[in-house]
Amino acid sequence: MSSMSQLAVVAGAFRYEYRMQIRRVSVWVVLGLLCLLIFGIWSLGGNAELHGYFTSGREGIPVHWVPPDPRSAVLDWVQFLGLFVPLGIGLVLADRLARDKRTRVDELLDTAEGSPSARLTGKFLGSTLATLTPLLIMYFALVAYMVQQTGQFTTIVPLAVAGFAAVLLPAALFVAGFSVTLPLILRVPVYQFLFTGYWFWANLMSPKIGIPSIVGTMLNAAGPWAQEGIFNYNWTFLRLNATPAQGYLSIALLSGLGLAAVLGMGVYLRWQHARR
Amino acid sequence: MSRFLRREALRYEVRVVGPWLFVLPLFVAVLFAIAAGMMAFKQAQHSDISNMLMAGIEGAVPLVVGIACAAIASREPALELQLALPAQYRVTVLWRLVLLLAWAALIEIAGVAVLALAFPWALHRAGSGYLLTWLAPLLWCGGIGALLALLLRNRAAAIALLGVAWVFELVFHGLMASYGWTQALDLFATMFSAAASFWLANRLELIGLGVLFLLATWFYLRNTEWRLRGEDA
Repeated sequence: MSSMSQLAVVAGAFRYEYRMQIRRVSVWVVLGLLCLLIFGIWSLGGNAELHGYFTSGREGIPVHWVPPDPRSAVLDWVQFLGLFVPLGIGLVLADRLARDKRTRVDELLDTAEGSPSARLTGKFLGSTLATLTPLLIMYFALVAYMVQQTGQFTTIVPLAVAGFAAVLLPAALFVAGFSVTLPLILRVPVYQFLFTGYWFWANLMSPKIGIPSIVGTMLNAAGPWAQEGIFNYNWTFLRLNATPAQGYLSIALLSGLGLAAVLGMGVYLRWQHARR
Repeated sequence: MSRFLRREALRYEVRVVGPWLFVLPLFVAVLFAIAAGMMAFKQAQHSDISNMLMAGIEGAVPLVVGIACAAIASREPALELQLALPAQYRVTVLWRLVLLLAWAALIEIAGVAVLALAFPWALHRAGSGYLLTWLAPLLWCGGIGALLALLLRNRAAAIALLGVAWVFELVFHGLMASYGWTQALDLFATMFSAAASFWLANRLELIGLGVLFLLATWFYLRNTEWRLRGEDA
């Protein structure tokens, strides 16, 4: 099959999957509640960062004025979202491909033209971008509020766009690659349990606990390398001394692994079909 | 009632729901026992081993039970048939949920009993803690898993909310313990705040909420035709 028609398969699967996912009310409810939860955490400090604040006086440290810092307000928003939103996206996406099997359309699709890899890639991109759409709207709703409060459009908006592209997008592609494909071999609830445990273990568990983990490696998908390397902003509990190059490398690594999971599953499916 | 307790009926329900769903809590419990055993073998500190065990008893087993309850409430391969039977479908669903919760409770009781007898230092709270450590999060997770799966009409979305809430509480455990209204929802109160004055109130509130969620599930299922709109039916 020519590469042109393979592209048409990707585009077709993408369009269909995007439209199917974006019309699910549950996706909007989950992403909405998630953003509300993260907004709650952000609002504990974010508004003060936006407007400046007086510290509470402690012994040895007199009360003093901390000037407004819209940059921190934006990067905190990115950081808190990065801790939990990929988890939510990964869990929501886990039933997408398994559903084809359950509704028995998978065998029908197998008879159609186009390789499994092309169809998988289209489905992966479509369902991931559709799940990111509600997030994008709510993300920029708070960014608009920050601009309205401070009037600093040129500081806030480019930073917010870069933050989304460098932290949230690669994390979403990474988790989606595995969440779309792995439930083909594991049962969905089993995958969801393992994925929840994985998310805490690999991304959010402080190394101080003393359990071996990949939290300090570049496989950390919650965004510490991009936050520190590219934006020079501290990520909650890790100090990596990351360079900008390492930040960009982490983005490429996470996005690439997500795509590799999809292509790998495509190869596996083709092998499985050949054996049937 | 007696028709449910017959041995063939029990075996049949387990087969319909899926034996693997019942294996899941056992698998998780064994996983944490192995992890704690490995830590003991590497001579980790008692407090770290104890935290690992508490994470299993108070955290992971209730989480997996919540996920399984969402699956039970949302999946029914023969839904149309169920709705046409004289036996009420909601009775069947509640019975399956009770079966799973009881099975998980047995696993928890066995785990706590072993620890209380052989390694009492591993449990953060004795006395009522033997029961309330796991019962409260188990009922809360199970109840909310089943209810959300019905309300959102989608299992994956329900588990997404449950999973995020669970990880959020684990990460921001300090925050959960510091506000009055969040204390009521603190799933990990025994692990992180065993000595706090709000511990007992927290446990009772979680149990109350769990029972409330299960009651809401029961009333939702009164309108059996609503189930037909679910994405997983």
